[in-house]
Formats: sequence, structure tokens, C-alpha cells
Amino acid sequence: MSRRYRVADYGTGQIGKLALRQILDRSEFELVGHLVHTKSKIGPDTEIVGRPATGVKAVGDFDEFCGFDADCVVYLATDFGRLSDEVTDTLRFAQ
Amino acid sequence: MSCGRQNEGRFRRPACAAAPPSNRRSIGEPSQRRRTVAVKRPVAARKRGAPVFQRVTGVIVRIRMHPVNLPSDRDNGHVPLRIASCKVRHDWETAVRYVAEILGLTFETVDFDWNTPAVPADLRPNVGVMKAGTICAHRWRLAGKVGDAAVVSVQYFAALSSTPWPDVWPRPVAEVASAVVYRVAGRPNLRMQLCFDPQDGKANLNSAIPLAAMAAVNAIPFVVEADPGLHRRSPIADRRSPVAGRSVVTRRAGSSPPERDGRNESPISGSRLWDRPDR
Repeated sequence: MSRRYRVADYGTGQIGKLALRQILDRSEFELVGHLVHTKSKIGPDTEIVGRPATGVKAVGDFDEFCGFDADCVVYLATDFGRLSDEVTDTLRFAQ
Repeated sequence: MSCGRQNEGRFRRPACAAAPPSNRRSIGEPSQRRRTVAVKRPVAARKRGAPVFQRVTGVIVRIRMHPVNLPSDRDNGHVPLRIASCKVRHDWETAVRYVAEILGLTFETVDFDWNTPAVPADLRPNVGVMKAGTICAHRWRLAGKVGDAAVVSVQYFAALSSTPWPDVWPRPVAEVASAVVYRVAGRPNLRMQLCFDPQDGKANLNSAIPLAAMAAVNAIPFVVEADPGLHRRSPIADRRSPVAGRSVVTRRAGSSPPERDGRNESPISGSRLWDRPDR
């Protein structure tokens, strides 16, 4: 069997939710966590993107997100108006 | 930062109207030295029977450095947020440099210019009324320059309607809501339009959106398999650079993986397509 990749998803906006659906749909990926910014999205499972629940709850806390054991982060949060935040986030992932 | 200013943005005028000034800068003007021009041109809405526009003058500002301190005395006094925030250069300069790298070109500068035409008469789009003088579109161009020639450039056109469309703006081949035009000016002289049709029959879901998501998801195995560090170079000469690699940028799912230890081991199990419709 080919390798499975543990993926953490960041952002469930217009593009991010489409990416999250594909991560859930494809057998080689395992979702280990996802972070959202909109308060109303925090807490629910992956039903927020129209997929069956996986037991992975959406978190709103960046520190908690960084604690997930992931092979890869899919970063699809907007950089619009938050370029410096994006750089800070990315550096944190690299550490 | 140098901010020269030229008039630009001539809309279609009646035959009796005066000829445009001869020193007007035409962004659609072919340049023998320009090799590649990519044009993205989304149009939000179509409106038949819209008024015939006689004359609108926009402005064009050319900025050689990062556009942090934009001039505040623009003719219309408005700087689009994406431009004011430097997002255009941040997001798109990589595309210009990526094409240049494939072509083996080195720039002296990457110039940025933009303009925001206004409607010369009231326009009635699907919702409300757009009063004459209101900005109805914006265009920007990032152009990699060798001397005075733009050899690789990306232009972006966003407009409320296709009807108030300046004559100096290139026109799409086919009427679509959103498209990318790839243009290679020279010999051979080529132009290709890629139309983003509605996805899964949803008129409000532009298929460019899943295209963007698809590239990110397809990149996961390449990112995980990559060596640590920042990867930015084209894989043409170095196929160990997967993040900006051709196989990812071209959105080819299941494409050739990075070479490791002299072997061609695929991190993806077989060919993968964007195979499930989004619900």
C-alpha cells in the first residue's frame, strides 16, 4: 500500500473548503486537524464542508493547530490584509 | 520610486468623435520584443443594450519599486485595495518570474502599472444603477523588462460588465465570465484562451476556484517528499524542487514525482484526477 499523508488544513473559505473536501475524499490523505477563523465554524466537525463527520473538530486556536502531528499543512487562509500574519504562521510551521 | 503618468483607457467612441491623442499608451499594442503575455480577465456580468460610451480617460501609473507609497492624487482619488495593499505584486510577480525562468530570461526590473476606468454614462447592471463617473473596472500589469521592452507580463482585467470595455484593452476571443488568455507575440504569433466554465452546473462557482484548490492538494505528496528548506527554482534544471515545479504549477495530478536516490518513485498511487464533484 502506498504511503498515507497526515494533513492539517488551514482555512475553509472559498478555496479552502474545496481543498478540504478533496483531502477527505482521497484515500492517501488523513486529516489530522483543521483550523478556521470564522467563529461560527469552530467546534463542528467536517460537516461544515459537506462531508461526513470524521471526528476531527475545527479549532480556532493557532497554538492548538500547531500541536497536531501532521506531515503537511495545507495553508489556504487568505493573505488579504494579513500578510505579516501569513509570514509569521509559515515560519511557525517551519520550526 | 518613479510615478510617471499617462492617459489610458479609451472607450469605444462614435465615428464623429475626435481621434485619440497620438501619444496615448496602448496596452494592447503588439510589441515585437514582447514574447509572452498572459491575460486573466474575469467579467462579472453581461448587459445587453447598455449605453454606448463616448469617452473615458483613465490614468496609468508606472511604479518601479514595491508600491508601498502610492500617490494619493490620482485623478479619481481611489486606489483599489488589492493594489494599495501590495497584494498584486506579492501574488503575481512569482508568475512573471516563473515564466521568465523557463524561457531563460533575466529581468532588469518588473514594472507595475494599473488603471481604473469609470463609466461615462449611467450603467444598469443586474443590481442597482452605477452612476456615470463610477469606477467600473480595473486593470493592472506586471511586466518583466529587459531595457524598455516588456518581455514577460501578466495582465489582469476585472470589470463589472463587458460593455464598458476600453478599446485599448484586449478583447477576449469568446464571451465568458472568466478566462485566461495566453499570448505569445512574435514568430509564431499565438493566442490561446482558456475559459473557466461554471463548475458542476453552478453558475456562481467559477471553475478557476477548484483549480486553485486542486493545485494545493496535489502538491501535498511532493511537499512531504521534498528535502527541507525553501524551494523556489524551476524543476527544468533541478527536478528536486517540487513546490514550484512544473508538475504542480501545471496542475497535473499524478504527474512525475521528484527523483530521489536516482529512482523515479511516485509518492502518488497512480493517476489521480479531481474526480468527485463538489457538493
